[in-house]
Amino acid sequence: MRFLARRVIASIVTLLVVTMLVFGLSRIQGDPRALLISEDATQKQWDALGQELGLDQPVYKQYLLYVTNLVKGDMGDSTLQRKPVAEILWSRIPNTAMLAAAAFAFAILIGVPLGVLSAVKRGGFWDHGVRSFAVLGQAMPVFWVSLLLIYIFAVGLNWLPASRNTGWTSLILPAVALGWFGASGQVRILRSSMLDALDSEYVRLARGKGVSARAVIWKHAFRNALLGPITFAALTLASLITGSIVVETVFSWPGLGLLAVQAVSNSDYPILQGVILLTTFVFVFVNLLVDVLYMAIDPRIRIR
Amino acid sequence: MVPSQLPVAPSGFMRRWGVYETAMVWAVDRPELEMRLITGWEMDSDGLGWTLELKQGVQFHGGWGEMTAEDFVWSFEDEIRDGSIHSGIGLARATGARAEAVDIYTVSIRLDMFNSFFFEAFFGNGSGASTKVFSKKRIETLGVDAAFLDLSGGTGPFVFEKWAQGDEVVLEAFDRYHGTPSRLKTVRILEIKEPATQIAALKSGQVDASLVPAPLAEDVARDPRLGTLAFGVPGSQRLYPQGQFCMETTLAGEPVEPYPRPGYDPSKPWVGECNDPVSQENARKVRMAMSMAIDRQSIVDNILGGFGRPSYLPGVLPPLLDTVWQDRWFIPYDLDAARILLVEAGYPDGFDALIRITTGSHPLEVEMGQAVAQFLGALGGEVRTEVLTYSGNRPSVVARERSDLWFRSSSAGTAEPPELTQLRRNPENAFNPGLEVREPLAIIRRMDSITSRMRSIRFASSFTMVSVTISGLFPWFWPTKFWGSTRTEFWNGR
Amino acid sequence: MTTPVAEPVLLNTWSETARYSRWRLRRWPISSIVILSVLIVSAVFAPLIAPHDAKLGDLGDRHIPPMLFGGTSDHILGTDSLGRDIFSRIVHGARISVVVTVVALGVGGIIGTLLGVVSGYAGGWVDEVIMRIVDIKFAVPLILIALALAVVLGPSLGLLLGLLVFLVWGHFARQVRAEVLVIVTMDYVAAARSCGASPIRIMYRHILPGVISIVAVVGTLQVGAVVLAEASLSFLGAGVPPPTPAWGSMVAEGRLYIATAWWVSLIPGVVIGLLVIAVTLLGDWLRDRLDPRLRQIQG
Repeated sequence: MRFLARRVIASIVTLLVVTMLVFGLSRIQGDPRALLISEDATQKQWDALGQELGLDQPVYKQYLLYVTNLVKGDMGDSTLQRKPVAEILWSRIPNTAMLAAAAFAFAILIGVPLGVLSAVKRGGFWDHGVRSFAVLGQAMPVFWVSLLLIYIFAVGLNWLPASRNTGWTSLILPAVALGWFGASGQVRILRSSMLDALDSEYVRLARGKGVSARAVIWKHAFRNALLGPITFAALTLASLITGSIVVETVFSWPGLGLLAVQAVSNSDYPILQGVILLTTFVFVFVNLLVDVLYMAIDPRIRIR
Repeated sequence: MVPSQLPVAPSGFMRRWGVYETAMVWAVDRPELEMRLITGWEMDSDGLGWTLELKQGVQFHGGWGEMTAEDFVWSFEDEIRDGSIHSGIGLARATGARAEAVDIYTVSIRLDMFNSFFFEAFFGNGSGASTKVFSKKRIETLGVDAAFLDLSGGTGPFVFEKWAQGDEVVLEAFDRYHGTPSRLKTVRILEIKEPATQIAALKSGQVDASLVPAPLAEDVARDPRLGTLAFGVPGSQRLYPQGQFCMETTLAGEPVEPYPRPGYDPSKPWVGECNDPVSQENARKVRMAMSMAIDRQSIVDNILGGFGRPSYLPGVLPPLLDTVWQDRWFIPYDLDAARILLVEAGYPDGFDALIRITTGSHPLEVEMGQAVAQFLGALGGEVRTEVLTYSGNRPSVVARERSDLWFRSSSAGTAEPPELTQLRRNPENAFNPGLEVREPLAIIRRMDSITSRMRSIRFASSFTMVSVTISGLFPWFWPTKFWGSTRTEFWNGR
Repeated sequence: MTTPVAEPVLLNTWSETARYSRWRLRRWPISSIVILSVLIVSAVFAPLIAPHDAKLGDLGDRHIPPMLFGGTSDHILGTDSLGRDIFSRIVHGARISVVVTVVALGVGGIIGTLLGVVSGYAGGWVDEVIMRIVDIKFAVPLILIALALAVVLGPSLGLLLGLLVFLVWGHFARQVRAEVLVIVTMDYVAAARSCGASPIRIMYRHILPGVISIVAVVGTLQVGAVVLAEASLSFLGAGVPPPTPAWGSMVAEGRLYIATAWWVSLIPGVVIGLLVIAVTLLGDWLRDRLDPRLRQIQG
């Protein structure tokens, strides 16, 4: 329990530091008033807007105001759309969540069985084939994979739609592009975890006792091998977040990643801040969850 | 929407979705302005005034009544007021422009100073200064903030139904349009950023038409399922060598001291010190060398696929004024002569430079800018490029735009920064390795889905920022004029 | 996978010798070494190897396909959108890739290793603080910050290097620290401590050598991540500014023409992939050779 409490506090500290970072970022880019009114504005208008935005206050007060607003759920207004950032983010979250979940599912559904297969059939044709696939998968840049998929499946074969959110079929290509990297990683990790587990004394003992090969694999080796992939799942989250930005751009998928890229081009810093905070929050939360899962699977595990 | 706050993309890439209209529009297939919200115009003999006759019976979207001279005047003044994000302010201030409603359908415009581009910039639909007519009553009733978020208030053949930022725009036909109503009832403009993805969407039938860079269009149109149709408004790509202006008076003749010339930096090879005639002459030679080093025709042929022509002027010369072309403005492509000039100017090994390319996410703009950088690099130095997406109103970026070399697109007769207007008087002084580009985008459409019976269309576009001037969508899908056949007529035999 | 034990092998027949030699050779990642050597040689001798200028091309030679696909022997891998020879750009691009990778990994590696050693050895609140910083680093979506900075400051080689260093140091810190935690329990460290050696001396003489192997492994595994990160950053506009050839930017620049001049994007992408594969296999091999315990480490 104490362990958990420490992790929670650490997470909160992480989030606070990120808010500072994000606040600093918005200040680096210059005076926010410049984005809201024209250069030719009079000094009076400039000052009035400054007062309204709270820019006449010392920096630390501005930061405190920013954080208090955050806690209340107010992330400011988008400079481009003049709507609350929270509202805009909220409308885009489902799209990215859908994409990430599908990609994750793809990574698990493909990666796990292939990893197990490759471990069990070690040294054979399947093993080499799967491992080659895994290495390839982790070597290709995400946007390249995306474009390739579009051209093979959407244009060449005309099986699947190339972009946007037009029903569940349009989810397939982006999910594969995004999950490809994760799938390869899962394969490799699971394979080595399984090999370790299969070789271990514990499993050999079970075999020696006459337990069937199948039972050995799924009950003992697999369970112990799960720890690696769970960690990897958490790590995959990071690549999912990064990858989603590129994948959403290429497929024009209306999610948070695309929103962030547009926000950067439009200098819409409140939105960018919001997306950074949100992704960090998700990341921290998932890591916390993973730690809890760890404890549940193997109470012997403690801090990294 | 409020006219002055309507996001406007760089004019080389203007969207014309037929929601908001201007007094006149460029014709689709020839370099002429057609009247839209006016039925006639007259210029005074001194060139300092215009009288516009407004069309009667023009209805605003959303039930805001009929367009009158008051609405027109209000819209014009809003475009140039403090806080407008459009480029008309500079030109309007420089020329002292003002408008007045003479009677219910007549507007009078007065200037203090003649400007050959004024009329077309403000009352055509090709520039950032174009006056889009909005209902004055609407703004007054709703208040500016609410009016900004409200999508009604235009006069065009289409009404905004829905706008999801970065996702799509949905337009419905306006049943009380003052002109020929559209046959299409619904237009959905879907945002698809990558041209490659747009083409894929076209081929797979996800969209019915798409805007793609013209050179790509020819390749893609070989697919029998697709056909092309090209766009109309001439624009230009120009390279501004920044900071080379030594102005002693404003355009109105008042002495200035000291003028904050953006980017003035005599250490740059193309900038001469203001009080030193030798330095000025050397700088002129450098600029001339730069201009001579750029093979404009090659850019037109290779990057634009022939969709354009070279131009050599500080300001683009719209085809309207083709008749005033002077041979002395022609600068030959001559790398050897350029190198000689550089040696004379004191840069025998060339010079390093940075070109900032501002773009409305248009890939060809970036390629053209990089090609220019490559040509300049042949002079001996290293010329780097930096791409800035449309900056709108960002001073930190604008400040960067105003140093080094700046490559950007402009529409015909754009309202330029006042300091540049002066240069138009002497083309040899400050060059622009101009390229006139006839909107290097083409519409590609699926031949099978777009028929005369069609009522709804899905259109792919690189961005869906709501930025509009007029030109109904509808005429473009009736004739199947392939670009090639109109090319020679367009350029009047040049 | 068991580590080969150094016991005498009986080679009675040629076939046994042949088999044994093949088995031993298979122990070395030949393909990785070959690929990496080619790359490094290209990077070092680029001006000699490249047949054309990598930065200047002729617009009239735009989009010539590779030799085997209908092009000329003058441009064996074809030309790009500005008429530049792709082969020359790839060869020069190797320089950028190698330099960027080496610098980023070098600086990031040094920073990360030092912090990892200090963190692992010192323990207590120092450890806590450093690990918290590492956690924060991992939590922040680097790519968004990179984009924002690229817009505000303008893309540059310096910015790219800074971002990549920031990307890798955390991996080093974590893995090194984990290793240090193990080493610290060793007898010789306790002995050194009891002799009264200063912490710095202990860290330098006893701990640092112990982590070298893990640093090497993490380093090789991070090369792939760095190369891919550079490619992604270039794709989004935050990478090395043109006209400098860098493989990532080359893929990004060619994407408009992927339907017609596919080689402009495809070929640099293949090269990126080859480099990452080579380095990943090398890293795996290194890891297996040095310590099977390290198998849990992934790049």
